[in-house]
Amino acid sequence: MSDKKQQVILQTSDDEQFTVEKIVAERSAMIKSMMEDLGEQEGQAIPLPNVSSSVLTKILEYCDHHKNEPLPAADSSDADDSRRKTSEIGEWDARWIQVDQEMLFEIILAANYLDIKPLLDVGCKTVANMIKGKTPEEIRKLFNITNDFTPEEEEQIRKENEWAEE
Amino acid sequence: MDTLETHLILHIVSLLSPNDILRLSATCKNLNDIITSSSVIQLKLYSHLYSHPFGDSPEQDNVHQNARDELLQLLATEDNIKNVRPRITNIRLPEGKDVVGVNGDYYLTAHGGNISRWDFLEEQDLVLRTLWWMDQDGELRSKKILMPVRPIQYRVKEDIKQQIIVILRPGTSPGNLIITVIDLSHNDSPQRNPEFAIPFGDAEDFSRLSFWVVPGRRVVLQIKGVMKVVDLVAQRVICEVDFPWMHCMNKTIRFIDHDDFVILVAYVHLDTEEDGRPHMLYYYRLDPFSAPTGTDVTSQISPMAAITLPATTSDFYNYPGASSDPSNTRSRDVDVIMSGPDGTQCTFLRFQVLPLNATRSDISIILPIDLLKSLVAESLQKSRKAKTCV
Repeated sequence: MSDKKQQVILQTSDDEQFTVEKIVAERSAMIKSMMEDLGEQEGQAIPLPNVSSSVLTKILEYCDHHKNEPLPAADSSDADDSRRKTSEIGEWDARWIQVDQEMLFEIILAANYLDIKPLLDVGCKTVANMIKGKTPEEIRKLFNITNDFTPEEEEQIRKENEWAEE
Repeated sequence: MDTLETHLILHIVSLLSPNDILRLSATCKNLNDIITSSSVIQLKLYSHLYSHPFGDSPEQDNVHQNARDELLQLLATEDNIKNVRPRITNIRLPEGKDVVGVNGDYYLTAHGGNISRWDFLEEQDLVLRTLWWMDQDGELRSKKILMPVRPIQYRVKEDIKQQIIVILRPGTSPGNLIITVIDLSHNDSPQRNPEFAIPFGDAEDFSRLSFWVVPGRRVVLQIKGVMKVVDLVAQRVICEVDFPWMHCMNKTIRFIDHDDFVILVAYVHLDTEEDGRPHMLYYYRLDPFSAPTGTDVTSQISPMAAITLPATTSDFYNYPGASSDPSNTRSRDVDVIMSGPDGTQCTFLRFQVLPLNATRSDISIILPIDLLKSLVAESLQKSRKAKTCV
């Protein structure tokens, strides 16, 4: 195999092209399967219409850092569980994911689209950590959520939850 | 956060503690909907509330201990309650959450203001609901219960008829509850082949409704909370209504199509020491569009008539006073008032709604007619013997 084959071209939603090491791009199960489908067609860019260049740049950083780790087994629920139980985020990951909220959600969406399970976990854990211990009002403020309950509904939910939290 | 798809939000929610989940669900309608309609999340919440029977890591603090004790106690008193007719006079579910729904395996009833029992089906898509009821002191109380949201699927055994028990709250409007029994014997997709749909009329009294499904069929029972009235297409489904004289004095049966009529069979035993063995059998043919509402069934039924079911339902239908006038309104509720003769106690009453063009084979009163005959013969013999002894 020549060195050229170890590269892959990714094209983002804003038509920017990224030439990436194959081993980095393969972190994405979605890109990996696409590469397998495309086979030997050299120089063919893989279109990623759901990912912008800024998000892809960020994600490639993550993929590059983790490129030598074993890929998670596809649909392995055991692996899923063990990953979930270790609720802590790795030190490097925690620093890497210190981004604004918009970027955080875009990373989650892209991780989902690109099918990078460990990254999806990191993103979701980060959001979960933001929610932990907060009151509904604090959560609303944090994520700019509009309270669309009627006062009666809110009272009802408050009562139900009060019961549960007793 | 609203940019995230539901499954991603659920992924996040799954990483939260029960209390965090509850607080998140209180932020807005969308998140509330997502959280309350996820069985996995609800199961997690439930495990938190009652560390039994799903909780794999019971938390041993006092609240949970008490909840579990309560549950166990309720289960223990079940035997005592079993023989008592459930009389739930005031159960109120929050709007839009109207179903206290159950079948043979998942069963909830109440007595004297207390929930008397609940069992759970495994592997059901369950959702946490709040059950409200008025206790004996007239105080409104609530309880979280798990209910199936997905169709309950099970196979009806060949030899016995499957009983499905449904508990209705009082004042359940026809729009609130529909039970759909779907024949799956030829088709695995429940949507494609809906065979039965039974809307309930307003239930004056709160009682159980059980359905007997013809053997050999795989059925799906769907219980939904919010629904519109659909046409009554009930064939070969027999509904059994527990009809104790004392508790359940009237019942509304809703007819949609003027071609429908109903066969009511009442089993009445005069001798209460006979362990519920039917001593007298009555049947009654009810024409929903000629019978006045508030029909007093017992005043019209005749003893032992059940042993002479006609050969065709058309014959059956042509009793005096029958009306098949198509100009009749297509929807009607008939209140059937059961008021037993003195000293009698109705064990139960069964009815079957049949279309006018049904054939004899469509009549499927639960007990085989031969058994009815022998039961009647037996009881007659006994009463004769008793007379000769005297």
